[in-house]
Amino acid sequence: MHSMSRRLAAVVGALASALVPGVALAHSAGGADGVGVASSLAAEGPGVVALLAIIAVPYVVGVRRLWARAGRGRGIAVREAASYGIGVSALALALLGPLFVPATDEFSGHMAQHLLLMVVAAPLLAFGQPARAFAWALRGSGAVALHSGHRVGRSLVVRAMTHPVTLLAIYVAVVWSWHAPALYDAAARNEALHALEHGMLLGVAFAFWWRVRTLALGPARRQVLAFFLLFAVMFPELVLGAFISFSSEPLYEPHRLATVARGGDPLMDQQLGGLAMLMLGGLAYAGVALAAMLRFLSGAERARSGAERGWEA
Amino acid sequence: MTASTHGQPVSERLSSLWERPRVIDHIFATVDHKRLGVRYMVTAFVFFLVGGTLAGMMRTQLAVPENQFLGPESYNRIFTMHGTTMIFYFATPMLTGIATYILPLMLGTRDLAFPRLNAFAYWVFLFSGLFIYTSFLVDEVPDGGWFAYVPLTGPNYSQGLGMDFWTLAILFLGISTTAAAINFVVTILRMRAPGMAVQRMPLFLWGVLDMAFTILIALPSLTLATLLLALDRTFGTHFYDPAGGGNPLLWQHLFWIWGHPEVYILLLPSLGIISTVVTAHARREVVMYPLVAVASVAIGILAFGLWVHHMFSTGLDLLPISFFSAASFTIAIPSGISIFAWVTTIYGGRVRFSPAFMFALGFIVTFVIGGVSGVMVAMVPFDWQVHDSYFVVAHFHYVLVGGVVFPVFAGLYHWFPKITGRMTVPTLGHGAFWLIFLGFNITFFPQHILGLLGMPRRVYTYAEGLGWDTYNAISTAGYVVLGLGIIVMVFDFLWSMQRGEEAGDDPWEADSLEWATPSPPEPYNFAHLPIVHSRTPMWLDRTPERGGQLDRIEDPMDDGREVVTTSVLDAAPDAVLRVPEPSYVPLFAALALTVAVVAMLVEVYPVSVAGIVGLGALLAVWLWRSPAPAPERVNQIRDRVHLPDVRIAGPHSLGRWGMIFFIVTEAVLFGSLISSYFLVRGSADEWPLGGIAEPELILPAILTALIVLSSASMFWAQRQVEGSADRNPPLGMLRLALVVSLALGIAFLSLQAYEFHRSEFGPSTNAYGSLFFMITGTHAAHMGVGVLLIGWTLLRTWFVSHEPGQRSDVPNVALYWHFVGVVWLVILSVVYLGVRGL
Repeated sequence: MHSMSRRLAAVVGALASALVPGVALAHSAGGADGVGVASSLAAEGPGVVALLAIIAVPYVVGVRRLWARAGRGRGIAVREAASYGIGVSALALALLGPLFVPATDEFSGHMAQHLLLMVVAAPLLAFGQPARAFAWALRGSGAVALHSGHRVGRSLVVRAMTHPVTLLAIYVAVVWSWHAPALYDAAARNEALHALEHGMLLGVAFAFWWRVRTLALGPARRQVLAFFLLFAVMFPELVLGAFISFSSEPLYEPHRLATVARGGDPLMDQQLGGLAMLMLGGLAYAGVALAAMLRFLSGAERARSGAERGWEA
Repeated sequence: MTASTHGQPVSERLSSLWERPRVIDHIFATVDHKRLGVRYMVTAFVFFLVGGTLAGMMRTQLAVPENQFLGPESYNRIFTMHGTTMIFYFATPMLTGIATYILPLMLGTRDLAFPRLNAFAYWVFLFSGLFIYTSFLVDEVPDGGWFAYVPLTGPNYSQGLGMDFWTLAILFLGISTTAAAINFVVTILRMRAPGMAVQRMPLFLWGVLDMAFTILIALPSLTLATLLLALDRTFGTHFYDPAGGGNPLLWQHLFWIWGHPEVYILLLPSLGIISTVVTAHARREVVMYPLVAVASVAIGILAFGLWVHHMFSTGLDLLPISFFSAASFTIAIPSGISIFAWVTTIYGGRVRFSPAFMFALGFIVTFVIGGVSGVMVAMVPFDWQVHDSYFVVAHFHYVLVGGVVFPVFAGLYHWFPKITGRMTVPTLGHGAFWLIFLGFNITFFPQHILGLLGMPRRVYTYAEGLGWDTYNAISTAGYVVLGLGIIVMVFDFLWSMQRGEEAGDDPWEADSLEWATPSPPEPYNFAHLPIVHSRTPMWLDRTPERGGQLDRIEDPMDDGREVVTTSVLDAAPDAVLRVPEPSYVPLFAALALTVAVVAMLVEVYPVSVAGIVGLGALLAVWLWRSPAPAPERVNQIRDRVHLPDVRIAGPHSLGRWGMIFFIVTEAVLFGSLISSYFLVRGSADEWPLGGIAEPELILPAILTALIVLSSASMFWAQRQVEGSADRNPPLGMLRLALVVSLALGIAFLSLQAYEFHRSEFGPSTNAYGSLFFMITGTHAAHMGVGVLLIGWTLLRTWFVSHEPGQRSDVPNVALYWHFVGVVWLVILSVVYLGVRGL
């Protein structure tokens, strides 16, 4: 436990540096098929590494400062820091790792990548209390800025924007829009758009999971909303996955070309991607909600005394 | 018991509040959940006997090869009506009835959250059932199968009124089912006894809660499916018609997205009944409570990922159906957890082998067999072999009779003493159980073999010498035994009702709150509302320190028809409110709806419109006055209810919740509609179809501006009301905001009418036209309702005075209005913007 934070920093650093050669490799592999899709995707590499550094380094600095002052595991628990570390690794894995190569020409690989971003990396990052760590990393003026941001958080507009129902609507709109064939194809052909796609997917997923976490840790009447949010987001995901997997023709032109060029079956590739979204995506939300519910119900005795102290003499 | 502050004994005072003296009021105006629950159960049981008789006719016909008892036409009608009756008019309403009766008693409260809605739901169910059975009188009986596959049921292949009866009856019934589901959700979430935190909810309540949620999410899909079919049949739209660009597979997707969850809609409360019966008769709490509760939720969720396993033989690609095959296996996990939990509970319990318990045992055996054959048909190659054969008939009868009918009978035997005040005759009960159990297995087990031997389902007869004769004869003999069992059971109920032994309050020494009331319960259920400290209050709460009694709220709460509401998770009491008085309005509203439906059937549309208008007027009256506590009572109640932090609330705290869950189910309806659009579009070669021009964007842009502005003005109206918890809102400002919203809404509708009017295509041009007008038209209809609601709210600002902080109409109507606005934004992006090459 004692060397956890240092090891964590080391792991994140090692992962980031180890994956840089992978980017170059992916780049050449992508360029080779001549379809012109892969090259735009692969060019993301350096930007991704920079992004990972921006996400990881201040966090490590902040956690070390916080723990040096308050003691290990205080303010941010060890498992929360570990969660953030794994989240960053998942992000690296999704954007730079082995999935990256198939993601450039296979739809199913690309969907696996999206799932890794949205249902693995995003919740792990959200669970790591990044706001607190970043405040400690920035100290001085930065912390003040974050603090005033906290006050802004109480304004009507911000409350409306972070309302669970609003977040749910934005989440669904973003996910559905980026999987509409025209937008999807445009993103596959344009690296800036593609980066925007991944950024938005990660962003809405992070906001969603962050809200689930704050609701789940809040007062009892807010906790119910966390369950509803998880169940509610599952259904649009199921429907989108069903559409993609039951479509009778390939929907995404770049993947069709790339798969045909490799001698694969584009429809099967598309079905696999859609099913991954339907089954794994849907299951992730339901699984988290059910696990939380099981834990909640199992803690009966604690909740019992707590619940009654509130209103019983 | 203490005396009331009103100078008469509490029981007399409460009785006078909760029951009307006139018999005619009991019959037509009652909102008492116990009376309505019994009506539901009796009506559903009559439908069960009718459906069972239809089954008997089929078994008679099939007893011997080449039988002439029924012709093919009659046979088609009979199997259609058997399935429709058993699923729609027996199983769902029977479970609804049991829940309606038991829920408030088990929750420790005095009625459901929306008592008049409950009455309305019952009347609609009854009239819908009578409506579909009048098809026999006019000899136009539905004959397209209970799942009504297109194109067989479409306009080209199913002429006459038969399937029109079916589609209208199912649409009609859906209103009742949705109303009941909203009622159950809000009641369970908000009206549990103080202290009944979710960790202490009896498993039956979990089952009903999961059922109600599943209904809210699944039923819109069936509603939409039947609505589209009715339009195809009557108005020549092309949703399912491939010649017009439609997609027949759309029916199967929509139908099974409801149809698979429907199995669990029936199963979940049944599992809850089993938990109740096992607890009471094994005299031990069900083990692994958290796991069993979560398993019940998990079954409800998994239900939505399995619909495709009904469509393995429709030509869908192998890879997707393999995934759905694998997904289907997972349902064995939560079901298995529950089964093992019950078996373990029974194993360590002190079992009382009552008839109720025997039916629970019968359930476990039968349901496991149905589960095993379910795993078999979940395998794609096996399903291809037995699809549409008697193997499938055997499988789903094991699941539905084993999983639903046996638990229902277990529940009826278990709660009979509570409902009637008398015990059934054990010998008769055991006799009925063994006849039913053996008769069922003799009837349906051979049908597995018949299926494997290749006998297809839905054939009215078969040739001799195919090796099917003996099994069919055995199956018919089994039906006779099963029927005898039912007769014995009915006799037992009728006889015991009159002459059974007195039951007393708690004959089973059971664990839950309904047994703390007299049998049958008083109209007000509890003279003093109970407070709960454990999962099994009747066992653990009646400690010597409490004098062997349940903890109760001291105040009898007899200033009106008062109940306590509690918080969702912890069940901390948060408000006292009054539930409505008995009323004739629900009956009249249901009658108005019936008039509209019958007129639609015979295509006399002015009368239909009159019926709908009548319904609207009745609803406006219904919602006009809310029974909030009178001002001078407010402080008095606050002082006398010895629970801190209790507010006095008008019905808005519950009305708000009802509105939220109504919007949930409406959102699913629009979601299904948009999904149908994509599905048809996905199978089309060009879009829009038939050279129709893409919709232009100027008009939709104006429409969008209007709707966004109207939402803003509604928000403004809301602020007037919500910012005034301790004073009356400035009415001038409020009225101005409402008038502005109303004007914008009317402008929207007029402009859209203009768009429809000048359109170059119509709903019957092709599937694109059908979908375009269906989506925008459904939205416009919702806008219309919204406009009426705003107008109604505006009127109320002059005629109905509210206490500060009690005005609930504006926020609720605003919530609905915002929802309709958001739906428009989705329509804008899909139907207007998204059509451009996305």
